[in-house]
Amino acid sequence: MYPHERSLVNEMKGRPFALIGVNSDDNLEEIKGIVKKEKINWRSFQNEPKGATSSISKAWAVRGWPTLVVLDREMKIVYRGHDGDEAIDKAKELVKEIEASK
Amino acid sequence: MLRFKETAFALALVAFVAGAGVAQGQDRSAEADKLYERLEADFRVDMEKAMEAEQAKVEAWQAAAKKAKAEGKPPPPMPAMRMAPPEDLMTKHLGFYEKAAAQFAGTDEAIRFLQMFIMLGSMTKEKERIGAACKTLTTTHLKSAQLADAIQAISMASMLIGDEESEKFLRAVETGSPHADIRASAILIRATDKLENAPVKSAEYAAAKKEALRAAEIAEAPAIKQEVQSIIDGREKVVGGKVAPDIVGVDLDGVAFKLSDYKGKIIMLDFWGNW
Repeated sequence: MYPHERSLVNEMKGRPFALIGVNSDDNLEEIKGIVKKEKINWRSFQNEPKGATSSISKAWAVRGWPTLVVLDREMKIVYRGHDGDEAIDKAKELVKEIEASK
Repeated sequence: MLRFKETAFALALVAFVAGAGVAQGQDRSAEADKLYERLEADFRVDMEKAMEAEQAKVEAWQAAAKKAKAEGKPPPPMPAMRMAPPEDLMTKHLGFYEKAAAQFAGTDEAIRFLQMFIMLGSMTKEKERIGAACKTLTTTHLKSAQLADAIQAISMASMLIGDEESEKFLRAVETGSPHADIRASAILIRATDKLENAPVKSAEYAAAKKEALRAAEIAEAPAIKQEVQSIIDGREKVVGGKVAPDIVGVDLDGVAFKLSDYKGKIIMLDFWGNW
């Protein structure tokens, strides 16, 4: 998934799109190493940062990983699932719609 | 019922072993503790060896494919990925857990050995032995407070002994356990599959939801109530067409930010982990 997402982010540079991760790894240092190694070029929330009272995945009722959610510009959910290609297609389609309406 | 997804057996198993290793009761004999840890370590070593063997197979294929490409020949067929652990490995460790359960037969200490026996055995063809272990759990140990973790194993056994048998055992727990949270878990485990997968508008989903809410009501542990709410929210609230909840958090560098900082753009949210 990393290379796919990396090229998506590159393709979407300067366009009305943001890829945001919610990372659920326990070891923060290790995952920072992965970010470097895999050239991960998008921002991620820590799912359960130290001192947090609840995790993001709980609030979003995520029970399987990876889960992908696509939100429109009003933050309404337009896709939720596990299919990367489907999510990317949906996001691209919506970005094009915004660009066409300008 | 809980089912194995098509996933590399090793990952799944390691997760089960890790999961089964936590949250045990407090007053258990040091002897059982030690034995459990040893069996777990032995199993881990064997599983790692099996995984390495798998990996070596793939690497050998990769090398052969590379060589074939360099020589302009067609690549060799990819080796089949193993979806289940080697049978002899499982048989061996099943034997260990069975023996340990027998050693502590009739006491609470036997429960976690039975649990592991059922979890591992569910991936084999040992239908009779696994059924018998489920029966022991739900008769001899029916009143035990230690049954909480073990009932998940009964759900897992459904893939070997069948949904009907597995449900029978879970119902025995539901009616016979003196512990509210164990009764609630038994109900919830039965309802989970339909609750997670049946179409939200179907009668099946409605029935499963009713059961799950009943479990939440019986439960004393907040975790069980939350679990029910989380599954239902995932199916009904945080779904297509609804406005997403905002996220206020920190990024991997500890810098605070909000999801709504990106409002106005199309956002793709990826719940990920590097495992």
